[in-house]
Amino acid sequence: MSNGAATAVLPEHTFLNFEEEEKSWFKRWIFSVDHKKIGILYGTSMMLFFLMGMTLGFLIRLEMLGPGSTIMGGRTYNTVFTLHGITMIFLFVIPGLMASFGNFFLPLQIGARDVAFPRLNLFSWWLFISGGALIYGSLFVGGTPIDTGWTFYAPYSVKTSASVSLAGLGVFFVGFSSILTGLNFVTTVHRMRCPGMTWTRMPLFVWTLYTTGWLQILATPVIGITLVMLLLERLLGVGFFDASKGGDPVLFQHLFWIYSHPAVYIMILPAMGAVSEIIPVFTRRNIYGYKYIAFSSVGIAIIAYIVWGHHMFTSGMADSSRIAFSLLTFFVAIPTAIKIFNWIATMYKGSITLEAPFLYALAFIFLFSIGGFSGLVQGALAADIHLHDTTYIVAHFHYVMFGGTGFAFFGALHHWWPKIFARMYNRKIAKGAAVGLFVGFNILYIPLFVMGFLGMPRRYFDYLPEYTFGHQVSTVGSWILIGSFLLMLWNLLRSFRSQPMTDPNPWNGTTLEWKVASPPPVENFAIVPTVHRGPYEHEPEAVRK
Amino acid sequence: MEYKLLACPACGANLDGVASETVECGGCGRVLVREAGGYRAKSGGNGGGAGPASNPGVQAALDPKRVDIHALLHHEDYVGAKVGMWLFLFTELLLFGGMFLVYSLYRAKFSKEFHAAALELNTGIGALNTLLLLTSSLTVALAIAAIQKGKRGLCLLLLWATIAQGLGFMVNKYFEWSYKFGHKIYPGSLEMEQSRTEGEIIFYNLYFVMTGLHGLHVLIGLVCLGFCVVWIMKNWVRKDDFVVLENSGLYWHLVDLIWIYLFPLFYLIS
Amino acid sequence: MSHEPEHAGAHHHDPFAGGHHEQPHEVGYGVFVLVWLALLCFTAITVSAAGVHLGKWNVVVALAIATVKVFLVLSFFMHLRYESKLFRLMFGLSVMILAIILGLTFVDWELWTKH
Repeated sequence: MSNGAATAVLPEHTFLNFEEEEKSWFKRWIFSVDHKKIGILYGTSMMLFFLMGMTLGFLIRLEMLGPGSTIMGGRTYNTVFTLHGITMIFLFVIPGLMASFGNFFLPLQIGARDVAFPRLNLFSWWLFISGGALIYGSLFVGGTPIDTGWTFYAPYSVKTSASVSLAGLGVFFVGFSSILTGLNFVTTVHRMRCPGMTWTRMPLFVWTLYTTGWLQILATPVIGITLVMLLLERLLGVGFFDASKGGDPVLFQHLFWIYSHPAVYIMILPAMGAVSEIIPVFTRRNIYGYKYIAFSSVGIAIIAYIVWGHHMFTSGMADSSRIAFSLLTFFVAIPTAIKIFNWIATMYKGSITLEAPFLYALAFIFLFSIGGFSGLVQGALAADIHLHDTTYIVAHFHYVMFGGTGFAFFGALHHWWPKIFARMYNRKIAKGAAVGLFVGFNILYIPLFVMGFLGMPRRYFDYLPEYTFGHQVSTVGSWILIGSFLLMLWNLLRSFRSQPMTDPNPWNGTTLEWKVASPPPVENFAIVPTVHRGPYEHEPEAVRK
Repeated sequence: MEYKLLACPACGANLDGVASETVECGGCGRVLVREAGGYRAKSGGNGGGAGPASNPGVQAALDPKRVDIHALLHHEDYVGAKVGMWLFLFTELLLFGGMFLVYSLYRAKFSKEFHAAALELNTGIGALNTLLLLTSSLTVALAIAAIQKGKRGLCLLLLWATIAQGLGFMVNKYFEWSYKFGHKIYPGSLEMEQSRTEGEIIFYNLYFVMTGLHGLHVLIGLVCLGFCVVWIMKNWVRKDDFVVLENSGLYWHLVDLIWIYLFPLFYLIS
Repeated sequence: MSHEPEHAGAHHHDPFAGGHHEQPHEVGYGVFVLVWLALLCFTAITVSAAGVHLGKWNVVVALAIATVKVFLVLSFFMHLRYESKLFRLMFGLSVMILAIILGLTFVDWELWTKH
């Protein structure tokens, strides 16, 4: 790491105390157009939503401890898993590493002072919060709380008197927020890279932010129009999804998944980008196959648009369509595998430091691979006829979204925490919590794979007695997971009590964000840098140490 | 860990916070190249600077009392503003694209009924609206050309013409819809449910939703153009900075583009 | 020591930022009027074509003419013809994605509503 020496000289002006004298904290934060503050606003609100979603998940697992009604009835259970899904997906995973770490680090990593449209950026966050407020507000206003599942399928979502419209409007707002962020980041990457930063010298995290931006721009409007149609259907009875009026409910599924499949790549790409950042740092090696990893992000983004039918294999689609979608689905494994092989190749003969960020990156590779393999199993049409709507699917998407994006988010949190806040957490506790999370996660979800294979349906609060043991194991796993998560969070927050760090680069990272003070100054760079080398190449001096 | 100041070896100017490998000294103008611990002049010679900086290349913050940070953060990028606007237009393309998808699917399913219902729409008003939007696209494009040439008065005139035509479009739409409502043709109408086939009902619902959504965008476009008129009068949008007008024009053209497809699909089903 | 070196760094040799000082291209009034006249012509053609019975081809003809009109508005009124290649590439990408979505769904719809 870096040389220790005598006195600590922190920069006097960081982004955290900029304008402190003139403005109230409310104006300095809620009205800030500084991408770093907006990143923190997103990160904090997303963590709060994650905690709500996690509580709902805890309740789900409590209910599943025994067959029949354990702590809640069937209707309540439907609402709980609906809210769990909406919260986790729309309010945590989709904004994900993009809205939080992307906002904070995109300009820093490309040598810019901010994103292309800072005020639009702030507006994005306001939309996000408003959307969240509408979604949770819908629980208290209008009809019974929403219980359609996060997928809002017609005809139930159209016919039910539950408060679908308000929740749907909230999701619309969140989608619009997502679109604006994507638009902002794509423009930023095109227009604001510092001199010398060619496309192939950008950090891989930036590549994923860019491709995710395009996914947000071109896919999200489709769920926008779908929600508009759903609202109009509920309010005016237009009948596009109503078979009694000549409409077709399966059309809703098509429109929904035309967005929601690319959405899962919106969820995972920035997470993969963060893993690409962490691995070179903790193996002290240049990333293996930079161009392959960069272009594999593009490949994933393109294939994302042509596989959505695999969510609808049991909906009544024609055979030839289903076979086509099944075949296309397998293709996405290729660019994904390229990333995984390159990460592992980077580690080979590297000088590895097992710190918490790296443990999370390793967990990501392991857990996401399991999720990915199970995705291939589901992509096989005949297998999916059996597995669709079972807990196998639930396990699959938790492995990719939680084991993947979730763990990458925690890893990014530990990796960049010292940069954002100039504080170091207790590294031993961080590692312990990471291990606990990993163990709890697998105990929670492996039984779901097994039970799903044996026929346990998803979204059911009641089940046959033969599944009881599996559910109980799974619930215990959830307790270990949640306990470890709380430990991890407490450990991070506790770091605020310790002395500020003086070392702006504790991990010896090579990308530009490590070249500024911690916390970064509001202007990011005193002088806009000129770049002459790749993002993961070490300085000559550092190697000499 | 001590944070050492970096200085130019030739004139001693403060290079504190510099991270670049090559930099032009603000004091003497020499080109300096970074090395371990400091900077040296490019043509050779020993590096001056402080001793081994504990953290070479870490950028310090600027002192807001000496430097106008707000000015530094102010960022003007004409091409970037257009890129952003085009990206937004692509989202609208996908938004309406989704509706056109629904239209095409139902038209394939109910081709005869669509044909029958379409005959009831007034092709004349539809064509008139097409002409209005096409001409308003012309006038807004001319308005941008005018302000580029510094002809502020002409620009304003053309913008007013654009807005007037847009309003004319909305007035026509109002008459069309009122006529239909008067005949009990509207989404959710019980009369329609009893007397019309499914295909016809779907046609009319698509008609109202799509022209309604389009009309909403016309209104938004008119508001944008209205703001442009105000800002031009205040000289906030002018010959050397008119990207706001250009972007509003792009949005207006999008409204025209959508109608160019709506018109034949609803009014010209022969 | 604050802004000036940034200028030296940021603007000197700046091929990647695409030219921060690009001047907007000037298009004469005449071009726009000509394009408008063409648009009016095509509108007249499409209205009269609707009166001719071509069966299935009516839709194709109408959409083709509409596409020509759209192309004219995009290229001239919206300046795509005069912008850098980047804009055309982005536009092409968006249209391609929309075409995939429309195409795949339509094919599937045809197949499943026909049995």
